[in-house]
Amino acid sequence: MPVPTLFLLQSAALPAFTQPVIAAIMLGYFLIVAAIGVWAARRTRDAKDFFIAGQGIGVVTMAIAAMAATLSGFTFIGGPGLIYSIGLAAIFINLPLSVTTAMGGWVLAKRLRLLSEVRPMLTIPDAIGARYRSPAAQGLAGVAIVIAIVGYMATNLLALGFVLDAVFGCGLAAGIWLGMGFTLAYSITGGILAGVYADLFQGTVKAVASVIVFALVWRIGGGMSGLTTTILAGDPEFLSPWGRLTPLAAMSFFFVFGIGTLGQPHVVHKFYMVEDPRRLKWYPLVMTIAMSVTLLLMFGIGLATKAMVLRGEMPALVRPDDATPQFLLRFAPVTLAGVVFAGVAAAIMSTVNAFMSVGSAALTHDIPRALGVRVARPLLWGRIGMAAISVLAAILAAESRILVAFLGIFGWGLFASTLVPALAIGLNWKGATRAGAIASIVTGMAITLGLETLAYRRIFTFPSGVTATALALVASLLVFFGVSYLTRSRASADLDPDVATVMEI
Amino acid sequence: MLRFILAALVTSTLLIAVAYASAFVVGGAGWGAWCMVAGVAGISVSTIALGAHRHGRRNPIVTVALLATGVSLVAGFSLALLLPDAGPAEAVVLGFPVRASSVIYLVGVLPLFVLPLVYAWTFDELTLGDEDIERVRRAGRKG
Repeated sequence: MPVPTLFLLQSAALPAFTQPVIAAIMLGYFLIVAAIGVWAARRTRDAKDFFIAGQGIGVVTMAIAAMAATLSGFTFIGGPGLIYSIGLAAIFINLPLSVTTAMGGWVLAKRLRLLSEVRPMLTIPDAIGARYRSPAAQGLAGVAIVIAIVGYMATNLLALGFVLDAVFGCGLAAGIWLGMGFTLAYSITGGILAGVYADLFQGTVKAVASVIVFALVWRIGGGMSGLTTTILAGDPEFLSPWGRLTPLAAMSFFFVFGIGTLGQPHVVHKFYMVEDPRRLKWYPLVMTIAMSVTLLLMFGIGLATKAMVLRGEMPALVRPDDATPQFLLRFAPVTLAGVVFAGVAAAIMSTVNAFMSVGSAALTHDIPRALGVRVARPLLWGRIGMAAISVLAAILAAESRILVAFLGIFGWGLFASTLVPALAIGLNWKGATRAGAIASIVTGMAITLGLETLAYRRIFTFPSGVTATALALVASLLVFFGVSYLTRSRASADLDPDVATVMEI
Repeated sequence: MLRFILAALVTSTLLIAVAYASAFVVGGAGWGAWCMVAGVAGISVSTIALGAHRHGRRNPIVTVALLATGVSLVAGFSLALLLPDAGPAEAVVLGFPVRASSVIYLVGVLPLFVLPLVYAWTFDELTLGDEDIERVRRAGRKG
């Protein structure tokens, strides 16, 4: 079975959920987020506030915000649908959680936070530029981020449009523009400060909804044993460790979603925001708890839907992505359904907010810096850039589902293949060189964009287990090591003393 | 030690590349999966080790935790590959068929809280202390 395209989130209309209680819960949620936006707007005075929350947040807030930015609507809609579709193999996307929080802590958290002690850091490309003394590397990273974010944001806005249409009956186009407009409003006024505290609220909503739904699944299904007994009798392949994938395909998920987390700028740039670097001690543990709890819903509904279908208590799904809505319609109290749908909207908006901030920074800070252009009034231009990217993404989402489907597949993979080697490896290895970093970024971009385009146009079909994202990540890593080795005589010249000190700690 | 970590990282990446190449080779599925097991476990552990490494400082707790994580990952994936597919008759262990359980618990659950707890436990001594922060701030002022 071919690996499904993961990043489409919701690609078709959801069943209507236009019930007053659900709409009221959603409106209540929006009011709270709006209030957070107003509060944050009063505290946003400069670019540092706008892009890194003034470097004044606590590690618990940062970790929950990072969780919220990581887990988009895929967790609540696409994820359960993927489990229903390919079985347990889908959890290979989440299994890397066992190593990624500690990986992020040891590899990036300290380094990025300490870099901001010696240099003014606003973005991940700033870190790359400082590490290699290279505006070119910074600019290339910025370009990669902008390309990835526009498509990634468009798919998220499309999904948000479907959710709002399902709850309010407003129509898809209106849902897209309303969702984008609301998220932009609190993002553009309060910057990432609004985003972080909205994420804290949204992350809490998601976690609570997830626990309650999982408890419901447990009760209805007769516990995990009850669910697995049913599924084992009716569709044992579903519970195979590889599900309906090959072992190579399943483990490839682990690789891409494991190592790839180190290159997601909307997540890792939050390390800059922590007020006291010593508090990073607790980041992996808090993040692990937050992620584990929130992923319970994806796991629970995916299994439960399959079991309920096999038991005849639900009709077979026409579309896998209907797993969560259909399960909630049949088994959940309407209030819980409202909280979950608010959680879905929260998940999408927290990710979109992070993209808005990171994308505008790349457009108005990193790329101009690479070109030697000094941006006067960075806060003003940051807001203009944010609006521009958001409007572009909304136009794509509203006008061209085909283009959205195409652009949306780049997101995670483009981030991973262009940023992991130069950022994550490079900040921990003095032997990495500027040439290696630039070569790896270019390789990641070329292979991701090239192969995904060929695959999308069906000019080339990958064998099972191989994806453009995976090939690009492997290739960019090998190019990074190889070119750095070949240019190793340049390694020390590419490293400033203050950055070297950060790398020695 | 750093050279060893880098060698492990590069070797693991090459193993993953070979695993993907196996998908293009007739009959490559079997050995390709094993390359992937070794590559994924190796790259995960060696990447963490690269970040945790500090010149002149060793912490046996971190070393043991990383080695145990590597063993756990390899064991989980290997059992899933080696154990026979018994279909509906497969034994259920801790709520899941045994092959799925080996992946869920050995790969997913066992390292899940161990590594973050080890990180927190060793943070002050190995990762970041007050003198480290002061040293970095001095470097920033000089720059």
